[in-house]
This record gives sequence, C-alpha cells and structure tokens, in this order.
Amino acid sequence: MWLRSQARWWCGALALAGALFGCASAAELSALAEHQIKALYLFNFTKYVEWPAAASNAAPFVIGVCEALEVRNDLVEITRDKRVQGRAIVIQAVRSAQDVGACDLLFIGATDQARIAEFLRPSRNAAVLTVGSAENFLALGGMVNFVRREDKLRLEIGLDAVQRARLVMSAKLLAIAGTIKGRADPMRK
Amino acid sequence: MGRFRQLSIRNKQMLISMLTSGVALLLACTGFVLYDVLTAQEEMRQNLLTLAEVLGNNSTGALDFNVPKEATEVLSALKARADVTAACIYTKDGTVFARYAQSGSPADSVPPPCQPAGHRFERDRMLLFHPVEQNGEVLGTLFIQANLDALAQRMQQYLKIGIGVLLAAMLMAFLLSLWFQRFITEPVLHLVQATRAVAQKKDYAVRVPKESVDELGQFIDDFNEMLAQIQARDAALHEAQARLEQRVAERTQELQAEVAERKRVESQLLQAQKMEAVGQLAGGVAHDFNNILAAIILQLDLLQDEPGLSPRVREDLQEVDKGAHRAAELTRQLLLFSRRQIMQMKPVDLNEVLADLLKMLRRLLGEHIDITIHGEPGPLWVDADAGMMQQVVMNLCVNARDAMPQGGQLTLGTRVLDIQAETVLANTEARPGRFVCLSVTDTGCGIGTQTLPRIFEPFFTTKEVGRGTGMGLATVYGIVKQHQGWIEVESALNVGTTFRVYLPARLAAPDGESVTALAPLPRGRETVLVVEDDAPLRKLSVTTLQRLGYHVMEAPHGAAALRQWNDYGGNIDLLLTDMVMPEGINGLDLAQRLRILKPGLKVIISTGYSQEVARLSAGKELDLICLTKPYEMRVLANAVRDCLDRV
Repeated sequence: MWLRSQARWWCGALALAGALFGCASAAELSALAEHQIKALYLFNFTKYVEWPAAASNAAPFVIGVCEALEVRNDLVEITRDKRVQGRAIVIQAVRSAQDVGACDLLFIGATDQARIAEFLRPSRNAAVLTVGSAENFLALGGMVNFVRREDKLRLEIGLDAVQRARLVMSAKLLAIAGTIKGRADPMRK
Repeated sequence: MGRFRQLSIRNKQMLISMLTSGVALLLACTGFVLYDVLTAQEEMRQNLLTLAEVLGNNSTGALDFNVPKEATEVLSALKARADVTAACIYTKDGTVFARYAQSGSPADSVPPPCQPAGHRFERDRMLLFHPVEQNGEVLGTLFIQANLDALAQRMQQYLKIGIGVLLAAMLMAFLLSLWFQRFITEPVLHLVQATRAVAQKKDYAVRVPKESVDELGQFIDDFNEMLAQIQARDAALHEAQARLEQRVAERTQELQAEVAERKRVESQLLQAQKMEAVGQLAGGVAHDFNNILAAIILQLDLLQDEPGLSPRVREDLQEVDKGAHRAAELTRQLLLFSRRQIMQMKPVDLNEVLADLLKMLRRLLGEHIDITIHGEPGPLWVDADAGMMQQVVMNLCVNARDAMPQGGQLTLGTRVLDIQAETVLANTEARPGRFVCLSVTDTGCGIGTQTLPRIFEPFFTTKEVGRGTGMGLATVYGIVKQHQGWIEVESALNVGTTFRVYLPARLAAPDGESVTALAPLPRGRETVLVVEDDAPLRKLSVTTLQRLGYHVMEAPHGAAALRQWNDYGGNIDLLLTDMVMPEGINGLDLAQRLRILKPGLKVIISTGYSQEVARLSAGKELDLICLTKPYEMRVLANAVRDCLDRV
C-alpha cells in the first residue's frame, strides 16, 4: 500500500516535472509540430550516441543547427538546464562550413543537396553526428536522416558514416531506425 | 476425551508422542513453508523487477522515439517466460504504448490502468508496475503480470514433501515410542500384571522387575516391599491359622477321648448302679426268705432230736433238711452277692487257700482240664473270710471248666502289685494302693461283648437250664466287693478268658495262728432275755437256749421287753435282741435303755444286714456282739457263751 501510494506520488511528481521542463514524451509527439519533434529527437540522440572522449568536460556540448530556426529555438527550449555526458549544452546556429568543426551534433535543415554536401564535407573526418532531413542525406554522407512515413517521423541511419566518425551508436537507436544503410548490423536479422 | 481415557496406557503414550511430534512437525513445516512462500514471493518480485528493469531499459529508445512497434518487439521477448502472462508499457501520461499477452491466455487481456510503481499479489497472479527510466528521467511505466503457477507447484511439492515427512515422522515416533515404551509403559504394565495376580490369585509371591532408578523404579521398589510385607503377614496368618486348626484338632481329640472316657465311666457306673439295685432286691428277698428258712431249719433240728420217730419219718425229715439247707445255701449266695453276708475277717494267705483247694479242684474239674498254679512265692496276706475266698476260687474255676467242655488249660496265679493312680482312671472300681491279684485263666470259648457286661448279674447264665444257678459269678462279685476289692475280666472269643480279682493286701503278716477248734456246744445257767418280732424265730431261739440250760425270757418287741425287765428287775444277765423291730424301739435303743438300768449288761444284737453289723461294730464302746442271721445253733451257743464270759 505504502509502495503503491509512494509510486503514485512519484509518478505524479515526474509528470509534473516533465511538463515543467517541456520534455514531451512519445505519446505527446503526435500533438507536437514536426519541428518540435525534430528538436526533441535531436536532444534524444545525445542519449544513444557516444562521442569520443572530449578533451575537457568543461567544454560545452555544442549542437549546431543549420537553416532550421524553429528547430533551433525548440532545442534551446528543450536543452535548457540539461547536460550531455556532464557537459553543458550550447545551441549554435551554423551558417558556414567553418562552424561545423566546433559542433558535436549538427542538424542540417537544408534540403538543397549541394548545400548539404557543403556542410557535410568538413564533418567527414570529425566526430560530429550529422542529422538531416533530406531525401539523399545519407547518400551525401550524412548519418541520421528524418523521413516522414505513414504520417510518422522515422529515422534512417547511415552506419558507415557513423563509424567513420568513430561515434558509437546505441543498439536501441539502431533498433528503432526505420532504415539502416551501410554495413550490415550483426544485431539485426 | 472420553475415548482417549478408555485407551490403554500403551496406546495413550503412543498417541501422545505421535500427536506431539506431529503437531511440532506441522508447526515447523508451516513456519518453513510460510518462510519459503514469502521468500519465493520476494524472489519472484526480484525476478520480475529485474525483468522489468531490462525490458524498460530496452524500451527507452522506443519510448524516446515513439516506436511502439519496437517496444512491442521488446515485450515479445517475454515469450520465453512461461510465467509472464501479460505485459504492457505505458507512456508517461498513462496511455498504453505497447502490450504483450501470452498466447493461450484470455484474449480480453485488457491492460489495467496505469498504476504507480509497486507490486501486488492477487489470487493467482502477481502484478508489477515499474517505471521506465533513462538517466533518472522517467519515460513511462512497465507493467508485468505473472501467474503463480511456479509458486503453486512449489507449494504442491512442499505439501507432498510435508505430508511425506509428517508420515515418516509419525512412523518414526511410533517406532521410537514402541522402543521407549519399555522404559515407561512396560514397568507400568508389569505393575498392572502384578496387581492383577495379587488381586485375583491372592499370589503375594509375585515381584515386579525393576528396570530403572527413576520414580517408577522407586514406586516398584515400594510396591515390592509392600507385597513382601503382605506376604509375610499372609504367611504369619496362615501359620497362625494352621496352629489354631491343629490346636482345635488336638482339643477335639482330647474332648473325644474325654467323652469316650466319660461314656465308658458312665457305663461302668450304670453297671455298678444296676448291680447295686439288683443286690438290694436280691438282698431284700433273701433276708425275709432267710428268716423263714432259719425257722424251718431250727424246727427240723428240734424235730429230729425228738425221740420215738419212725425210721421212715426220720428219713423224710432228713430229705426236708437237705432241701432246706440247699435253699439256705442259695439264700446265702444271694446275700453274699448283695454283700449282706457276715464275714469272719481274719488274715488269710491266698497261696495257702489255693494250695488247700488244689486237690479238691482237680477232682471237681475233671481230668481233661490241666491245672497250673503260678503263685508269687511267700504268703500273700489279705484280710478276708477264708471260706468266702475258697468260694471265690471255686466259683471261678467251675466257671472256667464250663467254658472248656472239651478240656483245656486252667491257670491260677497270684501276685502282689501296686496300683497306680493312672490305673484307677481306667477302672472306676479300682483304687490306688497295694493289692493282691488272683487270676484265673482258661483257654475256653470266651465271652462275647454282648454278654460281658451281664456276667455278674444274679441268675444270669448261658448254660442250659438246670446246669447252673446263675449265682456263681454273682456270688464272686458280691464277695469281692464286700472285701473292698474289684474284678477285671479280659476275654477273647475262642481264645479264653482271664478273671483278675484284686483284694487289698494286708500290710503286715499276722502275729500267730488263730485256730478255732470244734468243741461241744457251750452251756450255761444265766438268764437271757430274747427280743424278736418274728415269732417262730423267737420261739426257736428260746427253745435252743433253754436246751443249753439257760433261763430264758422272751418279748416280741422293745416295749414288751421293758415290761419284762421291770417284772424281773436286775436278774437278767444277757439281752439277745433283733436289730429291726416294730413299736419304735430298735435293738440298739433297747440295749442302751437297759444299760442305764443295769450298766455292764451283756448284749447280743442279731441282724440280717451286714451294713448294720459294720455300723454296730464301729461302736466298740457299746461292747456288744453282733450275730448274723441266719445262724446255726452252734453259732448262737458260742456267741451267748462268749458274750457272757466277757469281762
């Protein structure tokens, strides 16, 4: 009885906290706008991907957003007071390829292939998780791509690019991805 | 409870130990099972919790990126778990995100509404709600429902094992109590057996074996001790009883002997009384008869002296005289039997009596009878009437002869013996002291036990009519009794009879021989007063005395005698008077009165009763002479002369 009332209390408390911090759960997603979902997913990626050890924990975790203002705003909102692997989060607008090098995670909101490639190029040899929302994003060398399918937002993952960047992606992320390109994953049938 | 009381102690003890062990084991089993159930539940909870943790962890991605399919995929891994019947993942706001239902479970397994974290057990299942977290952030809730089959199975196994253990324990308890019974129940059973033996068979010799030194052992010791005491008391009681019985038997024997003795003595007494009565009767008859005979005999004497009788008359008179003398002899025998015969007591040597008689006996008994005499040497003095003694011997010998018609051995014996007090007890007639015993033994036909008590009765005879008077043994009896002696008879049929006559021994031999020689009848001229109520006898006495030269006066009774005395004054020298007379004055009274008138008067008192003679003799100071009737002329003459010549 005590346990149950205790649990109920905790449940209520968490729901309240979730509401306060604006952390939307999966159930709420349908009610959210796509840019909000994207911002949420972007933050969620930080939970399932391991970056090579940073030189210093004091250095902030930089999420760069390229050409997606709404997403960037949402991200700011979502990541407020949050940390990634103990590091503070900084949302940075990326306007040129030079800005890419400072990022740990980069969302390229552009749909133009040339422009995508332009932003992807500097990240090719850096430990930057690149996320896009274009049809040929993976082919262009991107790592994670948002696709809309059956009225739902799905993920495509280009595993080769992830591994090339020496990033370690959680199997759970891979499990939920709609499409995985690149080397075959031994965990999946 | 009532039934339990009826059980034997053996079964009670067994039941108690089995119940105790059963209950203890049941409690232990229950505790153990309860503990195990709780442990199992906790284990199950932990198990499900771990499962929930793993599933939740695996579902974070699906929740984060809103992929219910993936979550469902994750939950479908639960197929491997047979116990998990349903599972469900709720989003943060409580809506169902993904669900799992075990194939075969009810299709309507609608997940319950989301509940706070925790678990609960329902009747046949366990429900667990667990938060799905990532880095401390709650993403949703995982629900798992598991059936309790494993637990139930375990319970079943426990039940089986428990029952098995319980049964085994009961069996063990049964066997153990069987084994341990010998320490408690068996002594008790022994006690019961012992008490039963004591109660039913009165067997106090049983003992209960002691097998332990506990309270039971103590009790058995005390019980045995108690039995020993009872046994000892019982034995003592038996002994006392036996002693008492023996004493009773002894006393009974004594009493019987006493009774027999008394009967014997009584019969002897009766016999003696009978003899006494017969004697009195015979004596009475004989006394009167005697007077008549005396008159006849004296009259005959006078008649025969009468001159001028024809020879034929004289001859007839002699026959009459013989008859009268035979009658007198019979009367004398009767008087002897009734002890009324006057005895001439003087010292007599019994051996001499036998020796004197021997020749005559040989002639009397005949040649076919062999006579032997076993006399004690030396004279055997008794105070007796020699004639009577001769008659005793003669009568006994004649009796012996008649018992031996074919001839035989007759043994006469004498001896002196001291009769002890014991002997007196056996024979009422016996007296202690020194006695001379005369025995007459024949080898004749013997006397039957029927006859034996009557042989001394007068006129009792077994001989044919005419052969015996029946007075022989009666005379012997009377004589012996008169001599203060007694007779013992010992007889066996066809063997013989022994008569033993006991007479008081004279303690000293007499000084000299007192010999009485026959002399002519003494005569005299003195005056004699004859007082006699019997007229013929008086007449005879008067006539006899007158013939002898005496001057005789006569009176029929005392009063007439006194008148005569007055007429003649003091000229009377001797008074001859009958003892028993009519008119109130007896012989003795008369003598005393006359002696007052004339002291020194000579007195002769005649009587038919020997007792009176004895009484009169006792009064020596009276200085008188007793004359026993019937008397002959010589006796009368001698007595009158003796009396007159006394100084």
